[in-house]
Amino acid sequence: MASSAKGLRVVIGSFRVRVHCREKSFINTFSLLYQDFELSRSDFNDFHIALQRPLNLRRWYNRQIIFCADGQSAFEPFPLSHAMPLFEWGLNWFIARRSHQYLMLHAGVVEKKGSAIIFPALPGSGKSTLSAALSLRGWRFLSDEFGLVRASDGLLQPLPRPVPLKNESIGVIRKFAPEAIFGPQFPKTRKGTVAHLKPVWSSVENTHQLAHPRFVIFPQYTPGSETTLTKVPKHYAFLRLATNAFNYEVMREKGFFLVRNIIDRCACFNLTYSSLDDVCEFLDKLIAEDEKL
Amino acid sequence: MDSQGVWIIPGAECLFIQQWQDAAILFYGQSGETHCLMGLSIELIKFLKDAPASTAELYKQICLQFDVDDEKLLEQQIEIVLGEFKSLGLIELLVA
Repeated sequence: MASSAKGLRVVIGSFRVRVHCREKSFINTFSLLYQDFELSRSDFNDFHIALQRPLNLRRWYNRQIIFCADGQSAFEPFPLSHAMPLFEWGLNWFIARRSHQYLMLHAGVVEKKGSAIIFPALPGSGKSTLSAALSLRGWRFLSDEFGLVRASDGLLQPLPRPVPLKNESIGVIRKFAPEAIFGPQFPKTRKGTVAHLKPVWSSVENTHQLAHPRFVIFPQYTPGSETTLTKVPKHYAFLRLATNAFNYEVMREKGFFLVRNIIDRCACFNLTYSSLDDVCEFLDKLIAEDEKL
Repeated sequence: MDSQGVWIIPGAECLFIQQWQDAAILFYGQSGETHCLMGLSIELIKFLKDAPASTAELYKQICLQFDVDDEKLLEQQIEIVLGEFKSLGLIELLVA
């Protein structure tokens, strides 16, 4: 994957993203993590992102990098070594701010045998680790962060990207799937140590294949617990899903109808788990049983 | 019981209700707010969405549709729910 003076144009989910950065460490990491992604041949791009060194005095004694979206600096500078986490967080911010053609659920999403599971959850509940683990056990990975519900038909638009695993989760996934490919570890970020898991090729390859929501499952990692699935009332699931969305209020009645339709067609559960092996097997069985119905 | 006017939902056409068993989610386009309703409040908002009504008419409708053991308690509950709807900006009292 080579970067030109105009930057690299890459297709990420349904978005065309132009990325420009001259920092070799970023280019190397990006090339590894995004190696399976399609390059865009179009001159039209949804997002123009540049990672560049700020023009201030600090650049002489404390090397930094800034995230520019459409030519505007969007955040405080990060240490230069954190360019990759900055790119990923910045792209999240950009997507959440701009993509109102979708209802954007704050959720991990995976799919198997035509049935997608939405894992809406707050940070720290383990949705990224769970989504990553399932993707390494043959599930199609749509996202660990954005459940993009297409406003026109309520289907889920995949947005597979590197999964930013944090702290203990990095070791957990390395042990769970030794074949998993990671980028470098970034210690001392705002969220602790972060390492990005390269998304599996088959999920990236099928990025244009939309998915049907079938389950809404609220995951909660609880150390030492058995894997348990408890049905939750629909109105409760509605409120949790809507309040967890990035743009439910912005979409007004369209958001209401999209969430309503998801909740109506999905079975809704709370999931408590501690073992990734157990929970993967458990969810495999859930899909197999659902397929028989 | 307040019989001085009728309760209306301003912009009732942009109020949407989805009921699942004994609870309902309501979206009100006038305010952009989403609410969760249960029990009596679901029935009252459904009546008011269909047509404006006085407190007395709402009371009658509820009595026709459900077995009411304690009429006094029902009256009080209707007043409380209507007061809550009013404070949420869902309904207004039109006085002739």
